[in-house]
Amino acid sequence: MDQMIHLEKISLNQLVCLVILTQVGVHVLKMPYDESRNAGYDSWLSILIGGLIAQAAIWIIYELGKRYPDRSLPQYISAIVGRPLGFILNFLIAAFFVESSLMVVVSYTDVINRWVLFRTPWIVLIGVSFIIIAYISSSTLRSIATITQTLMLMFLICFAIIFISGMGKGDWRHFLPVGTHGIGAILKDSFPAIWAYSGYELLLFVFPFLKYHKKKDILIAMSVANAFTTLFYVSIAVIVTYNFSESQLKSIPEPMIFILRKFNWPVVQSLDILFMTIWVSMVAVTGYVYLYLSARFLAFVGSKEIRNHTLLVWILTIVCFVVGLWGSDRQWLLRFTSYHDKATGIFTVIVPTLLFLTALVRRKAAGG
Amino acid sequence: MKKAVIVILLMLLLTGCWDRLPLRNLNLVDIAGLDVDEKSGDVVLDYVVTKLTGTGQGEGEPHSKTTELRGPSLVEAVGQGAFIEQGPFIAINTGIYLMSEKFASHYPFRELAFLLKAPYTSINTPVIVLEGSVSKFLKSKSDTNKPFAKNLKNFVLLLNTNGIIPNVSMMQLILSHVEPLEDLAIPVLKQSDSEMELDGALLFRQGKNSGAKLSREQIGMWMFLSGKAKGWQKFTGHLPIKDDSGNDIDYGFSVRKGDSKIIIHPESSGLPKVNIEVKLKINVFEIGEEVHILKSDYVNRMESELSSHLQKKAVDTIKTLQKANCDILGIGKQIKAFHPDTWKSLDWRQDFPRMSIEPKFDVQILNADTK
Repeated sequence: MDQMIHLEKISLNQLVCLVILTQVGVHVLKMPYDESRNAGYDSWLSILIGGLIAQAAIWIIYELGKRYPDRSLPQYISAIVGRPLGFILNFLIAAFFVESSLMVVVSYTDVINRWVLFRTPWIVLIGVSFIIIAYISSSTLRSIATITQTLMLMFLICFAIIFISGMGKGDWRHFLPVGTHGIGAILKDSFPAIWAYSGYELLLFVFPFLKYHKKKDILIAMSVANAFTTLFYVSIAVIVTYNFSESQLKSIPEPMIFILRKFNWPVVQSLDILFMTIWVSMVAVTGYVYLYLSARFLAFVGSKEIRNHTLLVWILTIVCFVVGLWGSDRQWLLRFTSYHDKATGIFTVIVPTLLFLTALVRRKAAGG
Repeated sequence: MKKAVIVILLMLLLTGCWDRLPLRNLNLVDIAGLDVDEKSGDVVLDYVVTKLTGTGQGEGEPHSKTTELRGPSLVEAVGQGAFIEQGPFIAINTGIYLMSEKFASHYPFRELAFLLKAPYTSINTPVIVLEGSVSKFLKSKSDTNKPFAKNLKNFVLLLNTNGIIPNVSMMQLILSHVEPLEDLAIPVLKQSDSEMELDGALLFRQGKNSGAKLSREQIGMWMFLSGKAKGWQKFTGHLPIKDDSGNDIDYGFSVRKGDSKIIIHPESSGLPKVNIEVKLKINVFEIGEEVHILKSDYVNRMESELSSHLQKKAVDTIKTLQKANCDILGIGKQIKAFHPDTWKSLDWRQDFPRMSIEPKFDVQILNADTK
């Protein structure tokens, strides 16, 4: 398995697509509701700052990966923190990834269930989603990257739809005066934004499977991807703020859906439904990448690598499916979301930073 | 072969099982009429659905049918749709929300918020107020074969595209009650003979009917003041001066370009002073001159006459708005955005009616003929 993956490296182009599409997910529809609780109409600044924090995390992950360029995190983690702790961390990271996959599928199924398919039973929606995701993530990284590259086209279509429907009646004065909410409020609201940026942590695993001339190119590719996502998120915040004032935004938790419903075109009725249907593929990318990563991390929990990737993926899928059945209860879903937000902060920013610092100290100790 | 069979079997799955909506069960609603029953106080909801009959020959004949639902509140009236003959009544793609003046003044719009959350409802649909009873009007119209619903829909859309009065969508109306700076003017239609005509605009303060109405002429002034006047609209009237032979000077023009700028002058004590500068570039097709050659000095004189004439009318319109305490010109937004300190010292609803707001018109006639 190892050798096979080594042979099938992915290009930096594919890396960019993978990162962008893993970053964007369900949260786009809610943006910038969570980011405007304190920052109000300055939410676009919070989102911008969130992108900068994500950039810092990317740099840390890159520096960490650079030290072990021919191995992925689950393989070298024991070299940093020792064996038993390494296995535990591998397991926890695998659990976080599978939980992320579950989270994104359940929240999008909830959206679909509320806006598009009301009568279709929850179990069917969840089941079909997981079968598709599991099928893709049971293949090699190369195939996943190729599929993702193709789906990039869908993403660009969605981007266009958002722009077309976002223009029109609105008021630029909703943005003014800039920054009145204070830097504290803006920073506070950049935390929910960080969660929206998660996805770059896939570099922890894919680092050794990249084709590159110089290592620096990886950092550049990751930064390009993150910059693109930041641009996308900030433009959504700008479009929403252009359309709705701060007090109106308080009463609409999914502003993007309302903006899509605003659009009036005799040819296509209900642009929102069209958008949500295309957006399924974006959410699927996030779902299958996380599921794949989870299975790969789980493979290194014991001292011997578990080589049957497909089996691991399907076991994880069954677990997700069973837990996902509870998702039709929105109260449960909201509790789950708040837990997920915390976990994301820990595993995408704090854990890589700690690992990096430990590696730094160890190297120094060994050198000195 | 095996693959082909699988593909064909898969196609059966693609038809959808639970959420298919056969076209014949859907009702494409042209008009949703909202009214309050005089006697019982119930909300009356009328759906006008146009279907084509006799499509065997040619394009078919449009046939409007009105379905009436009643209930103590709008939600309950909608709920009644489940029990009627064609039911469950699945209404999609509503063309216009037509409400009676009574409904507009009594019904709290925050109770319409459920429309935002209901899937498939059209929330970007324009809202129109009709003088008199909506349910009676729709009943009288639906028996005739004339495609009145389509015409009405068209008329409302044209009012917007021709720059006569902007449409207000249901979403704007519902969301305006949470935003103190989002006052609205909703077009009022009335029936004259068998035709519909624009009667004016009802002023809404934070999602509530203020009871005040703008006349047709005042709507025009509002469009000038907000810099939105353009398009096909023709503005006509007569100036308060006489020409050389003692006749009234009539004027008629269309706007090529209209701009407006709200300028706030914060005062150290007291309320800020507001100036609205309106720049109009117009084409006249009638300005009192008998021979149709417009000379430069005459044009200059008429430009200033027209400016001061329009300015007077605008002052009138602003007075009406201040009296109704309804800031559709967006002055509050302007102060909040560009003079945040001044904004903090204001109590908007108290201060807006007392503020000094002066319009200043600068009219330029583009189609002068000779020097």
